[in-house]
Amino acid sequence: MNRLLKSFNTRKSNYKIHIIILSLLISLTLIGCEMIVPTSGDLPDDNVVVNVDGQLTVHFIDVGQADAILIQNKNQAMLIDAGNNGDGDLVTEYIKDLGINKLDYVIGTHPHEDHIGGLDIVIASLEIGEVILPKVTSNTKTFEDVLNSIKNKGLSITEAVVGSTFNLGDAKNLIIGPNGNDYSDKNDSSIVIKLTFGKNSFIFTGDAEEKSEHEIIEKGFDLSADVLKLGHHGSHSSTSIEFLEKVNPSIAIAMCGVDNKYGHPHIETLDKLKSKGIQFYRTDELGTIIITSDGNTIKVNGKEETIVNEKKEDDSSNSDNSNSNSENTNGLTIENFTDVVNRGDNATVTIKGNPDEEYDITVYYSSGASSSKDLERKISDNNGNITWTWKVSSNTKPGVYKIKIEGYGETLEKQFEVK
Amino acid sequence: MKVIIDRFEENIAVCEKENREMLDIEKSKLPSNAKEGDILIIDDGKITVDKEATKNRAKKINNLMDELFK
Repeated sequence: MNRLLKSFNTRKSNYKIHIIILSLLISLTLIGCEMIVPTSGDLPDDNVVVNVDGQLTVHFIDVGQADAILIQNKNQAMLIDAGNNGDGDLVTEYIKDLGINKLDYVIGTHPHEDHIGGLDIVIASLEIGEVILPKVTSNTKTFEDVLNSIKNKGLSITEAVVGSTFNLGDAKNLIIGPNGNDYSDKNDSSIVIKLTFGKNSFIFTGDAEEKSEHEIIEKGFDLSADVLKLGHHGSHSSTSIEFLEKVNPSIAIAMCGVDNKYGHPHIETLDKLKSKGIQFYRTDELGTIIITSDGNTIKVNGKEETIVNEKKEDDSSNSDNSNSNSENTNGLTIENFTDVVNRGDNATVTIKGNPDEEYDITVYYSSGASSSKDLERKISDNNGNITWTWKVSSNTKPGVYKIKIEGYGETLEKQFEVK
Repeated sequence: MKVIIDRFEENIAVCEKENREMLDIEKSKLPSNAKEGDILIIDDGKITVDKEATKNRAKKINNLMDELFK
């Protein structure tokens, strides 16, 4: 009887031990999942400034007409894209030469060859933490190679979810795009990330184009950042004026190949940057560009860059979560404005100023101020509203132009793009 | 030869050859309904979309994706 009881107790305690071990395993598994995925409608507060340690280094690796970006802080590293098919070894060697053997996060922004081409070799050659991709496919062998390299390493893929965050050392990464998954152009399915390190921030766009940029704005994220990696190698199909104004960067980077046959970066994009006084760097001219941040100061290739922090501190429109198009300048606001117009179409702007007051509008083209009869002085109604509508001639050269509205001692200027 | 359309850049279709080298083809030379992911047959300068091969390839890739995504 005693022997029976003894064996029964042993079995009970074995059972208890198994339960403990199982619970431990479950909690360890849960702790191991580092990406924090929000519930719907739950956007993280990205206005909190975290005290940071050491330096953040961002390497825009010269891979010709392609993207490959390595980011490091403390002893962690992440890679966003890995260049063309033939760049896998170059990117891997670049990473290893820095003494890095593990990539905590590998992000393939979208399945085009000039972004994920070299990823198969990188994944096979280094220790990999987490792989994040949009749930979008390509039929190419290049893309299949990437999937197979993931499979061969026994890894799984984390689908990019907008609103989710992950940390790299003291840097916080927030996924802000893509906000859809059925785009006819896969460029818009690019993963877009805002990285914040102390008071500095970066936006990495992949090949996201205007459609995706607009959706990101509509989502209400605080898009203000110091550095913007131009979408789609500086193509005119990316970097809309509204996106550029929301991001309001001091520095823009284009990753493109010398004499590339697509004309990247396009002149329309360069004009937009120039008109806003944004410092611009491009890999076809400079090779690999290295940006460092100590959480306050940004250096490009070792040289300190002026960041206009005053823009962020009192610029409330950037942290405005509303979807309104309004823009404030004292008592004169823009209620509605066509900031992109096709040649031959009408452009329109509605302002709200003081009631029953006279306001002037001037539209500046390459040849100077327009003398259109539709752009004459008008008197606002008793709500302070005026609408001007004018035809943009089909002879207008595509590019960025300016309107100026003046009245009641106030002036407002706005840019618009003609396509 | 057979190529797969990787992407479009303005008027150019950037295509992947069987050896994974990329080949640029003017969009005007392609059938008007050609899209990203289509497998093209290039025969003596004539280009057609191989719909069957494209469908089969897409299925294969989708299966691999389903297997790997968490």
